[in-house]
Amino acid sequence: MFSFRRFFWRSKFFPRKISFSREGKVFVLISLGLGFAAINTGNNLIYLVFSLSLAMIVLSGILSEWNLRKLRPFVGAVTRAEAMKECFVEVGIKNERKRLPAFSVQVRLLFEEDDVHVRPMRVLEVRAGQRVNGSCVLKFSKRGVFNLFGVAITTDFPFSFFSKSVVFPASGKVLVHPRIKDDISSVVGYLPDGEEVTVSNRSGRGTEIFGLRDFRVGDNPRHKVYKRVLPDGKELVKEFEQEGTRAVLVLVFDIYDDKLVGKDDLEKALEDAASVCVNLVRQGVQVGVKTVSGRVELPEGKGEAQLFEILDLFSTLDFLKVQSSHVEEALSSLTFSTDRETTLFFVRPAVGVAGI
Amino acid sequence: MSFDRLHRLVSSGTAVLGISIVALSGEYELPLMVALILALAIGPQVVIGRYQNLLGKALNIFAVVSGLFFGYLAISTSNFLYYALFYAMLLSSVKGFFLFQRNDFMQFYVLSFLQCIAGAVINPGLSFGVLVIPYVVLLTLCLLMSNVRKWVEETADASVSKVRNERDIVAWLESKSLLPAQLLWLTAGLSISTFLVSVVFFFLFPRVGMGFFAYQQRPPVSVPGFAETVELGAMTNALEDTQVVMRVKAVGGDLEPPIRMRGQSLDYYDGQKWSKTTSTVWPLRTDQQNRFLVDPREPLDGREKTVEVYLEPVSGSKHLLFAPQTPVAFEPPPNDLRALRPEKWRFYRDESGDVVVTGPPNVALVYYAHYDEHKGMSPLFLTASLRRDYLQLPEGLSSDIIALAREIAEDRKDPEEVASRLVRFFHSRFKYSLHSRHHENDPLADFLLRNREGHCEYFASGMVVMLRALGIPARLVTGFYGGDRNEYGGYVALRKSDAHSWVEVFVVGKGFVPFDPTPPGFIQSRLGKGLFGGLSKAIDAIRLFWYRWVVEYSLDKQMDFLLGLAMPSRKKGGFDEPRITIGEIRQVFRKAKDLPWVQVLALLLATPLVLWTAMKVFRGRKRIFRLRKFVTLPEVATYRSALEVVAKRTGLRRAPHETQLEFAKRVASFYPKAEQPLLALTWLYLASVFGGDTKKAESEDLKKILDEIKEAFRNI
Repeated sequence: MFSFRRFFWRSKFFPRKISFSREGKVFVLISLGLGFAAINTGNNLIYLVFSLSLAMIVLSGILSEWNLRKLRPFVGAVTRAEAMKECFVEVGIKNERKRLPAFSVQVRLLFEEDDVHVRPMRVLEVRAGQRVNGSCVLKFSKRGVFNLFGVAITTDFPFSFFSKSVVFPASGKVLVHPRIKDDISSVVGYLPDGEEVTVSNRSGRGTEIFGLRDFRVGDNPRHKVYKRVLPDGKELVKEFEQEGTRAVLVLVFDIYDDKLVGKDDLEKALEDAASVCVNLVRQGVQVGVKTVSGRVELPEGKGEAQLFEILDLFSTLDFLKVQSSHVEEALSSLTFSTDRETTLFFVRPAVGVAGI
Repeated sequence: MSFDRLHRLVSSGTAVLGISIVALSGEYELPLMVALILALAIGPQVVIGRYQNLLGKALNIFAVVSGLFFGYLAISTSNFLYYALFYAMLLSSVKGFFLFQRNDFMQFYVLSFLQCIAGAVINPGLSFGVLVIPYVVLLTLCLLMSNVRKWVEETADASVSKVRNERDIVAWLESKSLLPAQLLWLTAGLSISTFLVSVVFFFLFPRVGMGFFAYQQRPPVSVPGFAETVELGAMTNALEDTQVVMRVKAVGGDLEPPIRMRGQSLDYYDGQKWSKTTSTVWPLRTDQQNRFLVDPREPLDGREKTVEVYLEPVSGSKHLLFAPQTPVAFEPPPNDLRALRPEKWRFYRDESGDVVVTGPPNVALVYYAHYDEHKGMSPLFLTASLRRDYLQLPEGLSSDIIALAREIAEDRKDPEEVASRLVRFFHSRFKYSLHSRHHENDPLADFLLRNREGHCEYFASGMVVMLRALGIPARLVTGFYGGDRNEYGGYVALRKSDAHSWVEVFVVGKGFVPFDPTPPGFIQSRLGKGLFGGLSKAIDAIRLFWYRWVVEYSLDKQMDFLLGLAMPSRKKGGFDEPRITIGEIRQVFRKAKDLPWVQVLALLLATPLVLWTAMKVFRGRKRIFRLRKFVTLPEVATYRSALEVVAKRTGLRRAPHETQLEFAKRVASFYPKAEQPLLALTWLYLASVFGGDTKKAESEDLKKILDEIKEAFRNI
C-alpha cells in the first residue's frame, strides 16, 4: 500500500527532505501575503519587508544545507524489541568538518513500517571533528518484523522554519515481540477439560497450575478432577506446580473469521499467551507452543534460548482466515492430546456476539 | 548573563524596535505609545513562576474579548488598519508578560513582525529605514536563540521520565554556557547577509502589477505663503522651521547658495492679506524636445541655464512649480513608461506667468526648470485691466504711507530708479526681525511708520504698496531664497525657513523685474556649523536617497538602473542618476572625510562606556524589589556553598575532568571527617539536577548537612 511517509523518505529525486514547522508555515503565509500586498499596492516599503522575509527564507535554506554537510551517523545494533515498550538504540553523529560546528541536529532511524514511533537523538552542537553519542528511542505499536531502511540526520537550524533532512541508507531488521504483561493473574486459560485456570507469576509456591495425572494413592481426594475420567475409568487428579518439573504446551488460537473471532481478539489472546509463556519459562517450566491450525509447533523447552524461540515465533505468527464453522469447532473443543506430563494451556480469544 | 535572561532581553529589544517604527509615524498618541513601549521593555524581563496554565488561559480570553471589542470599533468607524494595529500592539504588550515556552516567544515575534509590516504602510520616512536594520539583527538573534530554547524543551520532553522535567529546563536555561559562542558570531554574519540579500531582492525583483504604475505617496509638507490667499504675517511660523521643502541641483554646473526660487505672484492686497486675481490659465505647449514652454512665442535659444528640482510632496492636486528667475520652460524627467501611468502631469500657466502642474496629490515632484536670468517675468506688456490690478491699493490706505513714498522717490519717474531708492531706504532704516508685533488693524502702516521691524513679507508688502502709490505697477512674489549646500548629496536644500517674499516691478520693455527690499544678512544657516550641521546634512542626503531609491522606486527607475548597468556609457544627470561610478564612490569617501569624525568616534566610544558604568552602579545598589524571580534549586545552592567552604578552608577545587563524586572522594581522602556529609550532599545535588522525580530534600536537612561540613573543616 502506498505510504506517503515511505515515499518522502526514500525518494532519491529529492536528496534533501524538507518539512515545514508550524512557525515556518505561518512565516511563509505571511511572506506570501506580503508579496501579494506589495504587488497590488505598489508600496515599496511593504516590498522591502517582503524582501527581508524572502531573504530569511533563502538564507535559512542555505544555512541548513551547510549545517548538514559532512555529518555522518552511526547506529548500534538492535535486533529485538517488545511492542509498546521503549527500546533504546545507541546512535552517534560525527562532524567531519575541520573548523565549523553543526548546530541543532537530530539523528532518527527510519523504518518501512508506520507502526513505530521514533524519538530521535538531539544534539545542540557538534564541534568540528567531534563525535557525539547518544540514544534513539523506539516504540513499536505492534509485534512483527520491522525493516530499517535508513538513518536521517535532521536539522531545523537556524530559524526552525523547516526541518531539512539527509537520509543515509541503512538496513536491518527488528523483530518485535508481543507485549508482555507483568501481571498475568487476569489471564484465563483452559485445561483440556475446559476448566478455567490462571497462572501465577510466582514460582515454586505450590499455587494452582494446570497439570493432570492419574490419581494415586495418597493424593488429596479434593484435587480429583470429577469432570473428566479417562476411558479406562481411571481418575485424574490435578497436579500442582513444583519448580523445574512441569511442562506446559500453550495452545495459540490463530484462525479467525471476522464474525466470531476477529484479528484484534487474536492479537490480545496472543499477548496473553506470550505473557504466560514468558512467565512460565522464567519460573523454570518447560514450555512449548502449538497453534490451533496446526501450522506451527514448538516442542517444550526451557531457558533463555527457548524464551527467545517462543517470542520470535509469536512475533512472526500470522493469522489465518477460515470459515466460521472451523472457528466454532476450534472454540468448542480441544482436539490436541498431549502426554500426561505436559499440560495443555489454551488461551481462548474473546468471542463475538454469537459466540460460544 | 544566563541564556534565559539574554533571550528575554533581546526579545524585548526586538519588540521595542518594532513598535517604535509605528510610534514614529505619529498615527497614535505619544503617551499611549510610551506606555506600550515601556510594557514591552519590562514585560519579558518578568518571569512568572506559578499558575502559568491559568494565566495562559486568562490571556486567551483577554485576546478574544479585546479582539471582539476592537473589531467592533473598526467596523463602526471603518478605520480597520488603525484598530487592527492597535489590537496587535496591545496584545504584544500583554503577551510580553507571559513568555513561558518557546511557542510564546514565537507568537511574540509574529506580533512584532506584523507591527513592522504595518509600520511600512504608515511610516514611509527615513526612521523606518533606520529602525528596520537593527530590527533585522535582533530578530535574527531572537530566532536563533529560540531555536536553542526549542532544543532545550524537546530534549526535556524526551527524557526518560514521563513527566515533563521542568527542573531540567530551568537548569539549562539558567546556564551561562548554553549558547555556543560561535552562534553569536553567526548571528552577526547572518544579519548582514539577510540585509544584503534583501537589498538584492528589492532592487532586482521585477516591478509588475498596476500598483507600481501609481505614484508613491508620502505625507505632504505644508508651507504657508503659497496658497492663493496669503495673510500678512502667515509665514512667520514657517520661517523658523528647518524642514526641507525642495532640493535643487544645477545641470552642467555647480550651484552655490543663496539661490532664489520663484513661486507665485500675488496682486491684490486688502490691507490684511494678499490674493491672486489672475484666474485665467492655459496649458503649456511642448517643443520638439518635450519641454513645456512658458511662452511659446519665445523658444529656447541655448543661453538658458537648467536646474533640477526635487520638490517634497505638497497637499492638494495643484502644485506650484518653483524656478529661478526667469523660467522659460519646464521639463519632467524622461520616462518611457509615462504613458502607462494612470495619472498624467499637466502644466498650466496664468497671466502673471506663474506655472502650476496638476497631478496626483501627496507625490514628490522632480522636474527640470530652464531659466534665463537676463529676461524679465511676463507679462511683458500690460493690458488696461492688468495695469489696474498691479496698481490696486487697499481701501483706507494711510496718507502717511503715500507721503513717505513720495518723499523717498523725490519725483523720480523711472521705475527701476524708484525701486532702487526704496530698496536702499528699507535696507538703511529698517531692521529685520522674525518676532516683531504689529497693530492688528493696519499692520503695514504700523510697520512702515512706527515699528520699522519685521520680516520679508512686511518689507515686500510695504514696497509694493509704496510703488503702487507712486503709480508704478508692482506685485508681491513668494518663493524661497537662501539654502544650504549639501556636499553629500551635491544639491542645495531649501527649507521652510528659507521661504521669502520680494517684489517684482513692471518696467516697460523688460517685463517684471525683481527687487528685494529685505535687508541683507537675514539669511543664516539654521543648521549651524560643526557636528550638528554636518550630521544634519548627511541625514538629509540619506533621506533623499531613501525617498528616491526605496520609497519611490518604480519600474522605470528599475529599467534605468538595469540599463545603466548594462550600458555604462548611458548617462543621465541630476537626481535620477542610476549609474554609480568609481569616481562617485571616491567622492563619497572624500566627503566622508569631512565629517567631524573625532566627535563621532568620541560619541560612539563614550556611549557604551557610560552605559556600562551605569549598569555597574545600578547593580551595586540594593534593589527594593526584584523584577525577576529566579528559580533556585536549594540542593544546588547548598552544594555551591559547600564547595566554597571547601575551597576556602582547604584550597581544593574540582578539576574540569573530575565528576562531583570523584571530587567528594578526593576531599574525603584528605579530610575523612567531611566524607559522610559531603558525599550525602553530592548525591542530593546529583539527584536534584539529574534525578528526575527524586524526592527533594528538606531545607532543614540541607542546612544540617552544610553545618556538618563546616564543622569538619572548622579547625583546619
